[in-house]
Amino acid sequence: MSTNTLRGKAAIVGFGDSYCERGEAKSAMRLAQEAVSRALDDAGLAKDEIDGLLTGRAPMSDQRHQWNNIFAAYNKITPRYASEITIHAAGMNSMLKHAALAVTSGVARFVLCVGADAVASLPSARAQIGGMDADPEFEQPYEPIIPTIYAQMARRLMHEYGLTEEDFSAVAVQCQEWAVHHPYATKAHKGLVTIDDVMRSPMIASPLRLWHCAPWGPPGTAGAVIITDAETARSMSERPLYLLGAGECQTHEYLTDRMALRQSRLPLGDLPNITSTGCRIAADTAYAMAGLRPADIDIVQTASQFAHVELQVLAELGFTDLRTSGEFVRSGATGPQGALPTNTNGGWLSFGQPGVSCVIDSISETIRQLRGDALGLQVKDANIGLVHANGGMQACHSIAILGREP
Amino acid sequence: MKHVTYPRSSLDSAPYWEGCHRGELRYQHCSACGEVVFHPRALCPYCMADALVWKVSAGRARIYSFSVQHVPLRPDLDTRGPRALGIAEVDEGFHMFAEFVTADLDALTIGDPLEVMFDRIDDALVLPKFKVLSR
Repeated sequence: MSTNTLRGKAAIVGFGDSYCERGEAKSAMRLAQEAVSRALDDAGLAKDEIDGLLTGRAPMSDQRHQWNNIFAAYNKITPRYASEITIHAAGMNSMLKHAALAVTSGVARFVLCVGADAVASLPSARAQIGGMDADPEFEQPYEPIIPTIYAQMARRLMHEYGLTEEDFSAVAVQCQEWAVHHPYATKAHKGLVTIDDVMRSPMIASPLRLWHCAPWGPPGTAGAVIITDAETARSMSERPLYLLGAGECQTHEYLTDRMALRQSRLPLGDLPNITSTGCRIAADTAYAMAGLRPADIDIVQTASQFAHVELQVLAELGFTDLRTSGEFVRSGATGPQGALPTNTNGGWLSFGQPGVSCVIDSISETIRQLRGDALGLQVKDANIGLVHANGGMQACHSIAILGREP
Repeated sequence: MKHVTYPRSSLDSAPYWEGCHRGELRYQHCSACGEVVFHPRALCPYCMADALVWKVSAGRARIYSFSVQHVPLRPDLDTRGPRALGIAEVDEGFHMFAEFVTADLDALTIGDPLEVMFDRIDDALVLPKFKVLSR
């Protein structure tokens, strides 16, 4: 694998986020506009100075293609470099890399990256997307819900690696320890829970119970990030955050078809399987670019739609062994007192999924932690943060590593 | 209950669905590289040769993974109780998603033997499923 030379050459110079309160309704477009307005103020830039625009996958609450074009026109932005970055919603994480490529090559000077959604507050829209991302020809006719697809992986993790339902439950318990402190976390009001509480929650798709599944909510969120080259960033901002590492990998689209991937140049274990993911490859790429090791990471956000995904991701990021990952979480390592603060806003399991913007929420949380501006619990001395994103049925993984120093 | 989700079929997979109507579980074989190919493709996804040939499976398989789904996709339209949905490892060397039909959902386990059955949903759709056989 070749190592790219982008480390520290691009930086975040402006950031803004926006959230719906519990019970509040706002459109994804309004939330995105609010976030962008705050990011421009934060950077001290006029809107006209934005010459690049990237958005993630269109909000599930909107679903118009080319959302970057719609967003640009809606806001009277006339970019000369623009695209929708989609490896599923995980593309929002990869926006940082694409923006860095643009600003370090002279293609653009200031690239605005935007992600937003508000589908959590729209039950009728949610009913239409219940099976979305399952194979429309060979899976959807059996009418699975998405937890049923993810449960296939959970079942194999138990079979191949000896993980238990209690291991999955430990993840939900720990996410809640962070979430209770966050003003917008959708499950904050439910208070702390125990493994027994999680194990008593209703079965959704065995072995996954309600508390093993990310909830819808908060009703809507958005995040906006402005990226420029490192030198310009230093001249504009007292606290730029540098892109130290980035990597991504797609291994499949529909989960069952992953079993037809029989060979790969990449380290995906004994193929075919559904228990290894592209996370390891994305992480190795990001670590190599950054010149960092797992031990150098201060905080982590994982894209855990379901509890078992966090165990897989912690292992593939190099923080623990998959077989002992449940024990690792139970030890408190990823909690508020632990050595590896993980999902510091409660993560997708407890902060929730407002829609596709859960990816930008992980970026927003990392930026806030590194700047010392956390909305919930602030981690002390957080200098380097890793953001993991996962799109589709673990089809695509994207990693970004951000740091206070280049 | 009303079936609401029909497969988004294509020219390349039409023979698979025609097979289901005739009670045949069809898959493809590449006469260039020898790989078994499923899901249906136009060209071989492994060697990219235009050399795929349709074959008929004997319909025997084992459970590779499964989940008992307790929540229906469309609660307003679906009155079925919990159902087992999972990935079947078919003897000829391919994997497919399907419903596993059994009277004892609690007893399901990875490796259970399966036999294909064809569920005629309506004139437009015959859906292959698997009956769970005793171990």
